[in-house]
Amino acid sequence: MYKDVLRSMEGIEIFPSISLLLFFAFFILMVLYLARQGKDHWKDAANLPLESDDI
Amino acid sequence: MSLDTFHYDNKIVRNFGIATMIWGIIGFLVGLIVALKFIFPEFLGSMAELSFGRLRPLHTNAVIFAFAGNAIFYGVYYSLPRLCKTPMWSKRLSELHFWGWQAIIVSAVLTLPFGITTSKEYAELEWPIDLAITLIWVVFGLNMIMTIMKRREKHIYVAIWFYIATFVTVAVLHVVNSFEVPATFLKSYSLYAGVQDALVQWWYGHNAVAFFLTTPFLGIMYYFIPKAANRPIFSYRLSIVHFWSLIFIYIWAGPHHLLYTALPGWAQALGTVFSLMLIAPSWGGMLNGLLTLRGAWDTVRESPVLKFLVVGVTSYGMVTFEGPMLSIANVNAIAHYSDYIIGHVHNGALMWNGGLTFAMLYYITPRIYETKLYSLKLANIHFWFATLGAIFYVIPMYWGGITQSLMWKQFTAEGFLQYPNFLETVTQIMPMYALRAVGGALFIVGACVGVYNLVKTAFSGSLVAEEEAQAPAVIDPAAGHKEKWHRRLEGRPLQFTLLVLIAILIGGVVEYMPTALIESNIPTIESVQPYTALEIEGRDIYISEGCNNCHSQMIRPFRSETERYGEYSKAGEFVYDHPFLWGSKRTGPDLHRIGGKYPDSWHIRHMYDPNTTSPGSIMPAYPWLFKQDMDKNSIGKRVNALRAVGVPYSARYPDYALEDMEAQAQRIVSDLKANGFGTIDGIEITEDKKIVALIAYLQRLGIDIKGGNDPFADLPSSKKLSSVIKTD
Repeated sequence: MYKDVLRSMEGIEIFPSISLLLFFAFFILMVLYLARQGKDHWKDAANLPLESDDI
Repeated sequence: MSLDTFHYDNKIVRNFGIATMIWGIIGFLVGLIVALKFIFPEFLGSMAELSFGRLRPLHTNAVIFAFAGNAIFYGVYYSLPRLCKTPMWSKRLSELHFWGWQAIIVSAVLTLPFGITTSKEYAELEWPIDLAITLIWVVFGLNMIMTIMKRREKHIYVAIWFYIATFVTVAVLHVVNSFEVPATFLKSYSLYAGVQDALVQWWYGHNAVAFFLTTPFLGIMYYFIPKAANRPIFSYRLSIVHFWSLIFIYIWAGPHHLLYTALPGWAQALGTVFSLMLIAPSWGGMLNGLLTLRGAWDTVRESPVLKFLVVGVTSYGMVTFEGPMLSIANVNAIAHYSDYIIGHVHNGALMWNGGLTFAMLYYITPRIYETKLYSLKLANIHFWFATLGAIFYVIPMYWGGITQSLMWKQFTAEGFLQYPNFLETVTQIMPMYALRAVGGALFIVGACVGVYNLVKTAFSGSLVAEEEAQAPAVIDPAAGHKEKWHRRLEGRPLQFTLLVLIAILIGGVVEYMPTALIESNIPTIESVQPYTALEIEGRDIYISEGCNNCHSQMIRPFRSETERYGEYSKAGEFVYDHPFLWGSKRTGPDLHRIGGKYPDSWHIRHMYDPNTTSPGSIMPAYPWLFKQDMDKNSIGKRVNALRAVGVPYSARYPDYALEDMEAQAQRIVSDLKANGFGTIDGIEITEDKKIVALIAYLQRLGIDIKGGNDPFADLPSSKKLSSVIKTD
């Protein structure tokens, strides 16, 4: 059944392009968001591995 | 604030470490054996269980799932509790995971050499083992996710994101690629056929590299480089970009394994574009790791852990540059099917996976045994053996691969193939095969020195089975105040996991669905017919002997290939191939148009001793095919299973399969006798021997497209059934 649904979809070739654009938009927004946050915003997170005590 | 006291389980870490070392040495040794078989084809020659086609999958499975697999769990079970400030959620599940995984590896050792295989690369294990893998993988995932849920730290560190992505994606890949219909207890047929099977397989195969050999090791890099250098990662922001871009893009890149094949053009183009994009996140990650050491490079000189990490990450950079370049169509045209690819993967496997694994072993062992490394000198010796071994392995393979590939493509001024005999191109690169074995041997010597050093280290201390640690009992609500969305997300493991799943599914679904479901993507060819019962048996023998490890069945549309092999392969020729057998490497020539090229007697002589027909051949002899009986008992069940996966045999054909099988075998044998080939070397060729079925299959390969061939004509079934094939 679902085969017929997909088969009837016209222009399915455009879907890869759409998802590429979606990813591109997400990527740009993420980079902008991260650029706006200062480096210090992540300082505690970056130090996490160094916190646990070694014997 | 009150402090909780708890204990990290170091025993499970140690167990995974021991398993990593033992399986590592075994996997490397099997690799050396198959490398020696290139130079000495008779080496261990008379035993079917130790033939190249059967041992090669054992080598790849051993190093990927046994060595690298145990190494991943070694790293996860050490770093995850420490990053979450809590022990693993369930000790019982940890143990079940450990012993379950070892049992799966043992079952691979007990099946692959005996010819029990699906033939799909890195997914060769048969269906009962596939089910066991699924179960144990869920055990691992559950234990990991629940540990993250119970953590005493608000933030989930980037290494853990990579672990989560590994769990989620490998689960999806394994399940989708393993859809198969069992015919018997240890034989199944892939649900997909031909082009679809190839696409699913390489979507899986490529992402097995991505999500089994890359993402977990990136998690390991993000934890162990800061630990070993005692400084935070270079840029945490870069790691966020790195993570999301990498997992989103990686999943699309599979079709670059199928360039110039019968895969639809749009899918090939998509694979190329995303592979090229992949260079950005990969190099972002590599630079993030290496730049962490800025200002601390002097420590690299002192520490074997950092040495292995630095060479490993550098090698990751080389391989992830090479990968996108190899995905460009005209580069791929030269490198594909050649030893270049073997060099490429070993660059990654020996230095990136091997390097990071040994870095972890050198880091963790002295710590959980509360002692110092037994010998710094031996660790340095190991490092140099490993590095030189990798260089001696990789460079000859690059050299030999390109040399051979250019020879395949060389035309004379008159327009004929310069090297029409495939063997000429093989003998040309024999010195490279010899050097490769030397490189592999050096690497193994280094690994043995490493294992000795680590064992001595362990014996010089005593295992802290339960390592005490303390952390605030509750997560501080004030931590990470002024939270922005990604910070909030990093505190929410389930939402995070869901987003990872969505990111990887987009690529998987968009790429796969159109080819899988739209019939117009795979043009059907009227003259292409399903295999006869004897040919099914022959094909199963071809799979069982692992012929596809050295021979492709996919002629690319280049003049150099159509001149050598014949008409290029069409998608519609493979619609009944469950599984597809396109192969990925040509140690020997392509076989797609081998049908009818030589008489049956040639195949008899060639399979009995390849040197009689092809002097200088490095193909092993297959004397056991002349002694072992073919499997007649299960042929009905196998035809039924093939019907279940969609091959249009009529409902009553399984009842006549055995009769057909015997009649066709009888015909081949009497033809052989008539031509004076009733015996070879004193062995009588009878109609129940495996060789007869294999010849039936080989003679059928690639001939349907020429038309005018009814494979079922003159067989009993066609006389008794109105039609063998359903005609709806």
